Amino acid sequence: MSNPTTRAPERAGQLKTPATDRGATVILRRGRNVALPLVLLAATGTWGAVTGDTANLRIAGTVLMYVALAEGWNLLGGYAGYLNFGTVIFVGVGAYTTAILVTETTMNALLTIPLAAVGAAVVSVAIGIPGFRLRGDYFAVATFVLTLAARELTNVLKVTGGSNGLSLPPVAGTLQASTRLFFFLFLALAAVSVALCWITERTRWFSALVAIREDEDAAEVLGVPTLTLKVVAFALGAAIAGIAGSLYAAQSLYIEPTGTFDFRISLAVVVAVVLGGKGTWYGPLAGAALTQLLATQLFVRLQGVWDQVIFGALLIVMALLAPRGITQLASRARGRRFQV
Amino acid sequence: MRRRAESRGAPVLTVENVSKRFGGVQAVRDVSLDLHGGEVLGVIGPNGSGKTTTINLLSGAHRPGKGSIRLLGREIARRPAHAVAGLGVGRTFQNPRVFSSLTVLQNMYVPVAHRASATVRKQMAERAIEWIDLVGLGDLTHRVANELSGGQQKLVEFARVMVQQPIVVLMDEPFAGVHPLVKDVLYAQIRRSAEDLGTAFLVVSHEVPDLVALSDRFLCMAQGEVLVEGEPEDVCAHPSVIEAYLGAPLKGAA
Repeated sequence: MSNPTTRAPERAGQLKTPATDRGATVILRRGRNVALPLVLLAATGTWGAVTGDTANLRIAGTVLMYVALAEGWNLLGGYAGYLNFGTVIFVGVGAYTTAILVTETTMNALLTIPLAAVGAAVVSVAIGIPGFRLRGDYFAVATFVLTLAARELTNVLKVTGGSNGLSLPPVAGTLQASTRLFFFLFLALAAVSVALCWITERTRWFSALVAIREDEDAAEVLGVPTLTLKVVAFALGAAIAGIAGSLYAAQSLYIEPTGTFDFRISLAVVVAVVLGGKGTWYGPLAGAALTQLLATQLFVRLQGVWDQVIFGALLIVMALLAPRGITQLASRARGRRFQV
Repeated sequence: MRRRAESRGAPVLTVENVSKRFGGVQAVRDVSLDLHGGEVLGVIGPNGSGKTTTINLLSGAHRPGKGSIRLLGREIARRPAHAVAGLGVGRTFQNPRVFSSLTVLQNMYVPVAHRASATVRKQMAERAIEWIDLVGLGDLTHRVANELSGGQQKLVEFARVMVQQPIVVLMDEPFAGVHPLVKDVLYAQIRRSAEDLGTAFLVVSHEVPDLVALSDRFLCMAQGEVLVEGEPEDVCAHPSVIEAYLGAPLKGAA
């Protein structure tokens, strides 16, 4: 076009801020959605930090670990729409990277965290480049099968200690000091993960990731390098999981294949994101906090079979009430008020 | 005034002996064609004649079993679809494939996002606004795409391709099931882009009279092969085209 319309330059500024293109209305509506997860996170953090009780801090640390894992999962699963049941692979890679480095080189466990992140990211790239030839259910099944393969591989390798696992020396002097330290490390990881998703929603990549979720073939022929974007999103999520695994190993002081590559961890992450509301930065935060606090409290009060049964029933009720995630409930309630 | 074969320059897209087989089905067989800058090539043919497969091959969505596809002399036949798009081949789909949860404006961003240069991104972003206005969707800029009608979605899809300033645009059934006013907008913008911007269009359609009016040149496919190629009116009057596709001479055709 040789003669652009005169409206173009003055409206072009809006292009940089698509997320805010509906102005105050959107901010207010998002405010309602955001309130629940922020309250939950604040409650979790404050509860753990203020009480100072070791058991509570440990629980809070675990909740925060799941917040981080859920946010990391959201980058590929929520924005780009790829269902991934392999989160625990990267938790395991991170945990074993730290455990092996500590036992083989006597490095401080905390110094191994960056290497755990890189190790998990490298493994995710190795899985992702061939794995992203698969789509939908097939990709989900592949990540599940790879979890089993990773566990079996760890069981037979000498460097991982086989089924005997690996023991690590404590990072802090006392149990209380260690629990407090790891609570704050998990809090930092959760905050960084939430920030990563928040930032992603405001970058130029966001539209491309959503395009992959909605119609990958159309995105590809429009020039979006879909494979590259999926691998990067997968690797960032894996790096977060790797750090979580590293912290888990350093706090637990002992890891072995069955407990470390426990498929229920991957499943819990998927449930948390889906129930919270995938594809938003606040949904996984709310979902992870709510499901983990609920599961923990049920376990503490009803140890045995019934806590699992009730937890499962509550998840079904939540899914029925909020099929798009609990963070969408605020929008639904608001919508109902305007119905005649 | 429409350009005719005599006034065309060098071809921007050259297709030579391209074939594609899906299992036991030979979808496209030895298709060769040239597409020139500023030209609209209309493609007709019965269902299953290989028109959409040809578009898929030219856009990189499918890789040909054999043959050559060159854009400005550069071989693109075995490049991934996003790379082909980056080199200047845009396409629209038979059923509009907009990203339904994104706004009209955000749909325009999708091809903008991966551009490395901030200057290029800024220029494309400005063109996005410009094209939204040009196709008459200015008032719907911030409307979520799944709230639009099918015809409006076709306009979004067209604008989204044009934002990238493609050398070649491949359009699959742009006029199917759309309101006459939408058809008019598409017609006008295709002609204007061809004449003013020099964009080459390959348009597949069953709306033969509309396509005759739009196109500089015609090509009829049947059973995966190019049956006849030439002036629109001549192609429509060709006995083998009448036999294989039209069934009867087109009203008003030469």
